[in-house]
Amino acid sequence: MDSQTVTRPVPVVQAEFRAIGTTNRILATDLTVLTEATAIAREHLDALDLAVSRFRPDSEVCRLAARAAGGPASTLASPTFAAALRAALHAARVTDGLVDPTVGSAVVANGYDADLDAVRDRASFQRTRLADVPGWENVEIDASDRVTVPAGCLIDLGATAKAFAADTIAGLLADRLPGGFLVNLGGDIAVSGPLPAGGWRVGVQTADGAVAQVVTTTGQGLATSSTRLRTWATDPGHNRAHHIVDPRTGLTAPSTWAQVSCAGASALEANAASTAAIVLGPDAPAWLQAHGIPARLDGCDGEVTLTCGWPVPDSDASQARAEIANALASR
Amino acid sequence: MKGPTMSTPRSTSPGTVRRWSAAALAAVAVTAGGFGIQHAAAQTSTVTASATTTSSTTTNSSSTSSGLTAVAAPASSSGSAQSTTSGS
Repeated sequence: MDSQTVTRPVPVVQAEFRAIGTTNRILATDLTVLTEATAIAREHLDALDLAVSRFRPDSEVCRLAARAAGGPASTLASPTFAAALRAALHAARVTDGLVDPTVGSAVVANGYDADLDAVRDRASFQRTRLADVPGWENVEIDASDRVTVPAGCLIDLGATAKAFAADTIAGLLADRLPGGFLVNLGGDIAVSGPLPAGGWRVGVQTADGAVAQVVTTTGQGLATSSTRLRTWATDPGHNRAHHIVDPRTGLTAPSTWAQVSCAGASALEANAASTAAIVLGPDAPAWLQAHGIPARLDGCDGEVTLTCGWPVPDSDASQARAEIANALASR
Repeated sequence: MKGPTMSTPRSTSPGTVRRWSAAALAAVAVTAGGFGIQHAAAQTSTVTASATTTSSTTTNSSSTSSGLTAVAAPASSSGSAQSTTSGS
């Protein structure tokens, strides 16, 4: 009998759970490791929540902020907090400060001062103060993981912690378990291990729940930042604010884009790029292009902008069809 | 059927910014038989399974002056999404 290479179907299984205020999904190519993979992810996210949540007073972030109320403060960080903070400072560095972990007080001043469900339940929120953004350059972390922050600094890792956790968990799973994994923490996606044939298929989901496009990742991290999902009313029945703050002003970033999806070498870099794009508003496409970031930017006006080779769905086939239609119409 | 329209810049080389109107993207999806505009199925269970195959591939990347790492763009897919990225 001739020897042939047979590609056998391999099941992809998925577990879903809530943690760190969002829905998380672990996909695996090996059914037998899903339970253990999920346990590893849960354990890491529990530690992350205790380290960096802005909404629990016993977190390291909140305890450090309380101490910083009266002046510069320092603390010896847990490994989880230290790693997440270093990731956030990396994001700040590579975005020239457009993604800044010291925006916490500004985010609170803009209305995001409690768990999102509580914030959404308010009829309105009136800003009463403008908070300073101390600046990421003024946060120090030394080799022994001692963190020092300036007076009044509330660290907010909301922009980067999920994405960095996705990268971390994906790495842990690849180290400890067989098979391939996709780790999706509230839309921040990292993959590790052997890929399914053709890569992992990821849908770009809009605020109304529709999947606007499906792309495949063969190792890239993917992330989306939105101005339409984490929002709250600023006056009854009218304007709404969203959660992304421009560190340069301390105010809510412009809503030029409904959402921006980016690919990166990691979920962290993808998220840093997508968050920076929201902050930059109309300047985002040029910035993404200059930094080599493939991105899909969905404008609030419905127009879609693509950079650095982000694919248009079936563009070649549709172009061919258009040419055929034009040829037939000209007969 | 009229194909999608593209506003400036008109070049389709990988290094350019391309802008597509929602109507043009919808036209693409329709002419492609519907894929590209899909609706997410509601998750009703915590464990789901689908059939696929495994392979091993790598992604080329290079560092930029800013420290961000330039990567290859994801590819377009005609299949259904195994997971989704959104802004939540």
